[in-house]
Amino acid sequence: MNTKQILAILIGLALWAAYFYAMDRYIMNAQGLPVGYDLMPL
Amino acid sequence: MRHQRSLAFVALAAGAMLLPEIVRAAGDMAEAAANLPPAPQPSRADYPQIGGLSARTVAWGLAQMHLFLAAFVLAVPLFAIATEFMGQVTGDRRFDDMAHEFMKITMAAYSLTALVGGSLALALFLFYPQLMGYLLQVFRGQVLIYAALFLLESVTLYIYYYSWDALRYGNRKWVHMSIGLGLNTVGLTLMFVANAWATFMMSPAGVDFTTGAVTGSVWEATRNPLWNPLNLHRFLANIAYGGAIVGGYAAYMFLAEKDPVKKAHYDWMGYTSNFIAILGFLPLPFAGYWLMAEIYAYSQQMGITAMGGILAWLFIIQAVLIGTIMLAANYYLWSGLMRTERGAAYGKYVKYIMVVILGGFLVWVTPHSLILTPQEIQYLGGTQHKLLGPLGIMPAKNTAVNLMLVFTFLSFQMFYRSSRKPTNKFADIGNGLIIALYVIGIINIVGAGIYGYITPTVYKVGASVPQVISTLTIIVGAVIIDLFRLRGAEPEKVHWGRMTERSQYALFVLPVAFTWLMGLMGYIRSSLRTNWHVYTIMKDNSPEAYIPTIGQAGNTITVITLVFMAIMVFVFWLSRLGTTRQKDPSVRETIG
Amino acid sequence: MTFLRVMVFSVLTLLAFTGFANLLPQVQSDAPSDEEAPTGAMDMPAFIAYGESLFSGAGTCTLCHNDLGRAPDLLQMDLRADFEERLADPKYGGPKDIESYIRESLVMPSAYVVPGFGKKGSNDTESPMPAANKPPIDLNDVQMDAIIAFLEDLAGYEPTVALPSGEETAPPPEPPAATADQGAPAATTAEEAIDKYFCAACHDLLGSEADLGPDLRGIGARLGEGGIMVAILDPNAEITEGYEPDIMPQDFAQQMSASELKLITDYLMNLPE
Repeated sequence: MNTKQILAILIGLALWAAYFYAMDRYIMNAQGLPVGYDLMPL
Repeated sequence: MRHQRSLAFVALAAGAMLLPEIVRAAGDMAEAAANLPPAPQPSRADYPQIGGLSARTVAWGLAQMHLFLAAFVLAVPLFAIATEFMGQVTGDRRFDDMAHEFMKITMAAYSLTALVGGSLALALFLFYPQLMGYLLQVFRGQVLIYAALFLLESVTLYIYYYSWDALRYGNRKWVHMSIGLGLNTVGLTLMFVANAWATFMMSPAGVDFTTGAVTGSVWEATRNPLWNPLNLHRFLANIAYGGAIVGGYAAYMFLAEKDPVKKAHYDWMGYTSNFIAILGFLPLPFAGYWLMAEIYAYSQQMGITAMGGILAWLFIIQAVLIGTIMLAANYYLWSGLMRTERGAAYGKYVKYIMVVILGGFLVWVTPHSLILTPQEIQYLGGTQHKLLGPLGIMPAKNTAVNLMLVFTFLSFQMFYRSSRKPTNKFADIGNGLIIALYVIGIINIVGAGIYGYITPTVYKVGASVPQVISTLTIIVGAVIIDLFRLRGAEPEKVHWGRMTERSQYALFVLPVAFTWLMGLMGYIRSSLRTNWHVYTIMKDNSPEAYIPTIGQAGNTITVITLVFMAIMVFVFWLSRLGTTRQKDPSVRETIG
Repeated sequence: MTFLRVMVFSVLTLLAFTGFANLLPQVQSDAPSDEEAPTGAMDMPAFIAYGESLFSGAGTCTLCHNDLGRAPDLLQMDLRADFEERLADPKYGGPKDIESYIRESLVMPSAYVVPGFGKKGSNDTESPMPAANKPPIDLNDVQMDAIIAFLEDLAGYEPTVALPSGEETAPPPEPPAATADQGAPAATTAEEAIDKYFCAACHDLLGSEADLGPDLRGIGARLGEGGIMVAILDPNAEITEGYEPDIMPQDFAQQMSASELKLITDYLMNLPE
């Protein structure tokens, strides 16, 4: 594994984490299940 | 005497209703409910008794057989058109030949489907005349549309098959594919119409809920709450099913053939049909989940009967079958890695994938309450195991199935990559992104599962949607990134035919398990109605209005499956018979 | 040879599935029998036992009311404390006695939803529970009374429902007999009166969406004030088309006070179309 790949993995982790977090929050709220910033029920 | 009256009623109702209804079938005919005849409420004695026949078993057997055959007959044209199209796009002749071969198999199966369907209709009218009379009142002219669609299906099917070589190249090929498209549209519509009747019986609409009087239009009755979920579920399942059966056919031919060229052809056919089967299979749990969610939304009672009440153990059997299918499909893919040199290198990851698949399977199979004797309950301190009990509820199950799907897809991805050596600059970055995607996606799936344990019930159920979206994101994201990554990749030689015999047996497990699973799920769908013909509207007062034990149900399903397997063997034999030529004994062989 | 091997393998696979199905607990579920609720002489302990059998049997209550969290676990929780708390809660606007509260929960589950158990997305305003007196549960009034007796007994109260009389068919819905209502002050608002006499159990009133009795919207224009009063006091005098006689209680003339009758009539006169 070269540095390019490791860098890609790290940036990817950050990007995907942001995507999944936003997706989780949006989906829970859209179902009528309000959640806070920690994704726990309000 | 009574059932003769009922038959006369049916004939009269049909005659009286159908003529004007042809014209008004699509119209809205809402009238005051009080003036319309209510749904019939037959008593036990009103059900015809013919000889010593079990009405329920006859109807069950014919219905299930019809569904098996119909699923096959709908599925094969679906991927015949898909492979035909792939043949056009890639320019690879093999696809077109394979599509043609698929269609040949369908022809024999088609008439059998119609035969069994006709027998089913006869049996239903014979044994349940009041119910059928009522359903005809509800669906009126639609049954004639159904008949007309069959005519259309026959026409398009025969033309699609027989014109294959006549419309082979250039513009004519596109005409041919349009006919194929028409065939599939008609076939799908047929299924959607029949689905409406089945789902109406479960979640009626367009009728008055107290009396059952028909107050709405045919479209309202058709578009009942469970119609579309069942449409989607059956559409996907048909694809998976057709792929599995053709895969079984290809596996058998692979084992039977000695010629390495033919073996290579059948190996390739087996891989392609397995690919299509898994493609259809992967989204199925989501479609099934939607169907279940709609059942719950329509009637909590019905939903809980399915998963928390008398039918709950059936879902453990379902888990066993799906686990079997997953293991077989993955095993076949892993075996396939040996077809390329690069593939063998991926082999070292297989054991990790297997751990996840097996682990997921075990979680899936774990029930919430255990089968215990009273002493054992006392010893255990309850009906649930302290450690493993929590694995019996939905968050664990959803987590397990999503992970199994992700890792099955990983097996695919490995095989896809094994015949392509990446050459472009994006390759490493892309790979990094994919690794990150898998890691975060899996963490999200597991996290959402744990979340389900620490939140109230509604949140627990709601957390399954992010899990599904995570799985879909991983699959779609990985495919897109890999497509870019492997642009202009150096193709590796794929040694088609280089497969163990063992691996072909995995391809047999698929159609057998799929068939039995279909029988099981059909049984569940029918039983959900418990003692109602049309849920909450027309009670089932027949002598056999009970839910049999799982063992009895399993035995019946097995018998039907065995008969179906015999029919398929016959169908395949027929199609091969069609290409066999006897040598003319009067012609002497001349050499040189 | 290949054919034989493949067939044997397939059959063995099938037998494995079948065998598994036969190893699991074998339970046959019969359709609920057609017989009516047992009538005739039944003392309270027998009635309570009947209610208990309904609770886990034909009433299908235990399907949801168990420890899996779908509905309040009635068999395990402290019912008495819960009931007292519910009735003492000023925000709870329903009937003020235990029996009426239980009956309301059976026929109009959405009238009051226990926090946390509402339908997803409805913010606890809609209950997922089906009405017990409609299909598919379809309990008659005697059966519901039995369940109420069972629950009252479970909570540690003396059951207040009437024992079934010796009639062959299910008796028409009766207002609770010999309850705390005896000697209670007359209702002071129309809504209170409607609750007290269970009008909403059969007619679509106060959001009950019941349809055992005719829709009363616009009844003021149709019957006028006098007509409404007659319809309440002597229901069999004129039956709306599509409905049966002898279902609506015949004894409102004895039970209702004149002021209550006036309140209800005024309310119905002002019901929009």
